[in-house]
Amino acid sequence: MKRLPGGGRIDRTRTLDFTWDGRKLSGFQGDTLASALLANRIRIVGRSFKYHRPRGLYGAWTEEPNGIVDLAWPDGRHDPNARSTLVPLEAGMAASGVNAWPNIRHDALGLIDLFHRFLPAGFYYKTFKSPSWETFESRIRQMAGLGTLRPDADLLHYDTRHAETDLLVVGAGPAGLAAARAATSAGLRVMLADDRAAWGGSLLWQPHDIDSAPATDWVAQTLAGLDGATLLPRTTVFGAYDHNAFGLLEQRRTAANSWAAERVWMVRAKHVVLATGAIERPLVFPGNDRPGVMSAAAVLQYLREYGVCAGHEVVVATNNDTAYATAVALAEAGAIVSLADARPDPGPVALTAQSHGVRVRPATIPVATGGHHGLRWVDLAPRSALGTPERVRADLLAISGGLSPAVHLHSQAGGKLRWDEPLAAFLPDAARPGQFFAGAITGTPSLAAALAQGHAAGAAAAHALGRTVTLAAPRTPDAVAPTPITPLWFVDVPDRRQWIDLQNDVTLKDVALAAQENYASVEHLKRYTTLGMANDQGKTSNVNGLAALAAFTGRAIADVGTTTFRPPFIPVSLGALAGLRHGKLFSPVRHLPSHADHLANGAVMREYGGWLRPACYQRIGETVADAITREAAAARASAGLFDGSSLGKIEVAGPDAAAFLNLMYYNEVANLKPGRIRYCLLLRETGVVYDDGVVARLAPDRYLLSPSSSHTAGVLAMLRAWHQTDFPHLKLAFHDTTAAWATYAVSGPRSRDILAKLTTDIDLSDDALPHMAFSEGRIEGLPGRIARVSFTGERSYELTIPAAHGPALWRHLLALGAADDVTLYGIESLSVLRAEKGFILIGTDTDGMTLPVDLGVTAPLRNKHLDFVGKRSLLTPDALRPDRRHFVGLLPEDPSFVPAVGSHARVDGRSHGWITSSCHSPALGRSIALGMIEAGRARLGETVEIFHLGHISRATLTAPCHLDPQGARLHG
Amino acid sequence: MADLARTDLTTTITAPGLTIATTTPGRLFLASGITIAPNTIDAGRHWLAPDRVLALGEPPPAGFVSDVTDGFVVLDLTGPAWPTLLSMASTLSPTALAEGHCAQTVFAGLTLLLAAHQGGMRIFVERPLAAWLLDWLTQAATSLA
Repeated sequence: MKRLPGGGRIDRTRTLDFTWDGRKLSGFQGDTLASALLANRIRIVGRSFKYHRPRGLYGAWTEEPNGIVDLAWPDGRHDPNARSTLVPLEAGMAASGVNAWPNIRHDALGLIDLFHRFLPAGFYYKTFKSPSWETFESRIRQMAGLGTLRPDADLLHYDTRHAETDLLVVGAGPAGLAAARAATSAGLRVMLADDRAAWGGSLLWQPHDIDSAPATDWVAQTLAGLDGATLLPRTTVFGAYDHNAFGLLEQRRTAANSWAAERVWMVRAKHVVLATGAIERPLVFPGNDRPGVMSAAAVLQYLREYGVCAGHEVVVATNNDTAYATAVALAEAGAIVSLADARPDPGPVALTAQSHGVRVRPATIPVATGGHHGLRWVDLAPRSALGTPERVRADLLAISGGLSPAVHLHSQAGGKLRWDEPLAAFLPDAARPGQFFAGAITGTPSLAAALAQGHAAGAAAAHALGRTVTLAAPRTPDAVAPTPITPLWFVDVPDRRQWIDLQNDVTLKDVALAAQENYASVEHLKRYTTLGMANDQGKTSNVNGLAALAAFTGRAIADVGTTTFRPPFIPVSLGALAGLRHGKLFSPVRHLPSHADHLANGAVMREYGGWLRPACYQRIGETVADAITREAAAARASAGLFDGSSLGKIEVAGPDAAAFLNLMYYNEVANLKPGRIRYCLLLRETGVVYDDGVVARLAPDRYLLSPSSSHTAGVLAMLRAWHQTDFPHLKLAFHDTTAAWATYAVSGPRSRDILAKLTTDIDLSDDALPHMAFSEGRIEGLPGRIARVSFTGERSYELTIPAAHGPALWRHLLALGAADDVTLYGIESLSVLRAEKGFILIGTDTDGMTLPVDLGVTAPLRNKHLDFVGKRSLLTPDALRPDRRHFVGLLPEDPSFVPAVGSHARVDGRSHGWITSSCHSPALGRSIALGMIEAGRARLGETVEIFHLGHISRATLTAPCHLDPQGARLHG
Repeated sequence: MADLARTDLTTTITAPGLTIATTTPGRLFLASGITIAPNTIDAGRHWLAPDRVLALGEPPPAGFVSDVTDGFVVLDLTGPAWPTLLSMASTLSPTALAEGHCAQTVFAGLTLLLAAHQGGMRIFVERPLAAWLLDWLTQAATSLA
């Protein structure tokens, strides 16, 4: 392994220093971390997942199974599982090996490999059963995985882009470029994505002439001519979804302002050209996981891209023509190369190789490798006499088992694959709608064919959009037809481990065992052995594994089939997928009009159903519990001021508004008089209580609904769905005006005195404005509404004015109420006040099974003769069961003990229900609770056992209303 | 009579190629029973749904009309980078916002109304969500630097 004095597309004038396992090393601008490690003669880059065997680099790009490292950037970024072949080298990087202790050269856990005979596929399904999996789980989980995440949060922002395009071209090799060139010439909007920084794909390391010029010139000319195209270098198309939607991961060269280098694109394309190329698969033979055994295609890339010669004494082993280019290039670079070809007659490529000094051994295959911490020798044997190998000195074994077309995106999009026997490869079957293929994905080895296919695909996409391509297709001299591949799926020697999946440590023996245990389906094989389930997604192991299963089950590969490829093609960080949705931008939150005033008043703000609302207003020296008690007491003693702006305000208008709402609500609403308000339940078709709230009738044809704050959007959607699907003939419409208004409640015995100071033309007398009535008029000169509704049980007034004036009204009411000791109260204090009154909170006291009868609200079912949503469900045997859980009150025996919400109410050790709300009641000077108890209404006065986490206390069942059951305070 | 003055959100966010500024273009009304072509703006009336518009300016003389002037915060995005910001926030193509067009869609995870406005883009966001959206826009705009 060494860096050659010249060659490669690296910038040798820019040296980049980095560290590997604490050692100071250097590379060049343009290196990947992997190429820099190879240039520095780093042989072992990782330890294998299961057996902790030393592993070296196998590949050069996305196919790499071994080179996963812990990587820290100087700016604080950290990736515990960085893929070294895909990471551009940067100065100051600190990389180290993972899955090893104390380090990857000397890994104590390497001892596990000695016991490999006892660790076959599925061993822990068979082994860790007794006494139970949990006995072993924590230790095994500790050993599992590769890198270790750091505990500190990722502070970077991840960028997201959405785009649509006429044509997305995936892969900017010769085929992709030809497609983009043709489509652009016809005026299509084209996006061209390639996962490399440089354009040209295989042309970067395989020199050719195109249109009578060096291919690199053709690439440059083509790119210059792509007018208006979106060019996305270093961008991997990682997912293909329905209707040509794609996920792209762009690795940007630079990022600023705490933005991550990663950007996710979500692209909708009318058409797509998959010019994704092919991935070289390994040969499977004994000892094929030793550091120094590499993909022949990767060896060529390291040589041509980075000027790194991966070995000096090299054996190339192949069963097809492609590895010959590697052998010749290595020989030209000064390496001593011999080539073992499994085919008896390799054909013309062998003559070319021999002319470059490569010793070609036909009908020969590798049968063993040796060397501690890296390759020292290879045993090569004639296929006809595997028992008599010749030992060849080698520090590099470059292998090629043929090409597997990169069909992943086609498969992800639901495309089928077909096995091509002559090519020994899975090819895409019929194209999905709007999908075209070009280049090596079709199995063609020919550059001329790739260019022609690419051009045709671009032209076809243009034609489908009514455009015509007049440009001539790019041309290249025809190459000599290759000698066909001779499949070599594994070597038939007993008792020697042959690796199929390097990343998950799956061997040929594991596949044989799975077949023997009748895991004959490829889907079962995958899950039982974990073949192809590592983060390389089986890019190098998939076909070899299927072929082995076919051999062991006596079937053809076509009959075994293949698993479905799923996104992502390469690992994508969760941060990149989340985009800006983290921290305070994780989820939208609504602010009240008086948000700033609440903060100024010391509010403890919490999120309730998407709204940031005051839980209470904590004063100096108070705990939150103290504040809640003080606020609840003050509202009963004098007056309280509450921000209710988040309560829904849905206006419903039209000649059929009354008829429609009567079909929707459990309660009768058609006989509500204008100016009056009614408390109503809204049910689902199942009869379950979905929401509660007040309904006000503004005019004969106009209502105002006030659903709970978190249910406004849901109630509106439900009403619209019923209107549009079942009652479109009814004339009415809905407007959600919640955001336009600010609403404040003044509640308590002195609320009337405070309101009396208000300048308003609304008659506030009890005759004109009794409980459950409202009036519209001017409030301090502004249009508004005052309603008499109460969720505290006290005389209450709700004032509503345009939202922008809300903060001023809030301050005005505070000033008006100062003499009457008005106290701000928050949601938690309101919850105490309503619990004292036994008023339900939907979703707190009710759940997805609560019917109106459970809450004791049965009159509408008896008296309302019209149909309404949920009615049938209230008449089922289950709804009529006498032992349903009823909403009741509970008084703890110990008045100072507040039982936890969720505590079970038991009798003779059996749960009869549970507590749904509990608190200390300042009005009663004791603890109170509400709950759902079997047949509770018939059992008032009975004592039950309250059980919570082993603690037992006692409570007496009561009516839900703990305070002022006659409701006198409403009028006080 | 007390003077209950308005409290309005006023903010300007600037980034290379982009200015985001709150604006108060006039009164706003939700109106049902008014039919205009889908996703168009006609005399200040922005299409929301079949037979439903958000009307800017004077209240429509007929139909079911609700004054929602205080229900929205209006933001104007100007400068050549507004389509980039749109592509960060929404799947909607900038071409859908040709002059005279609008769309009620998901933007930064919120359902809101986007409208073409003088070569830029106008956002009508519900007042309670405006503070969160401005946080989002402030953060997103730093990516343009």
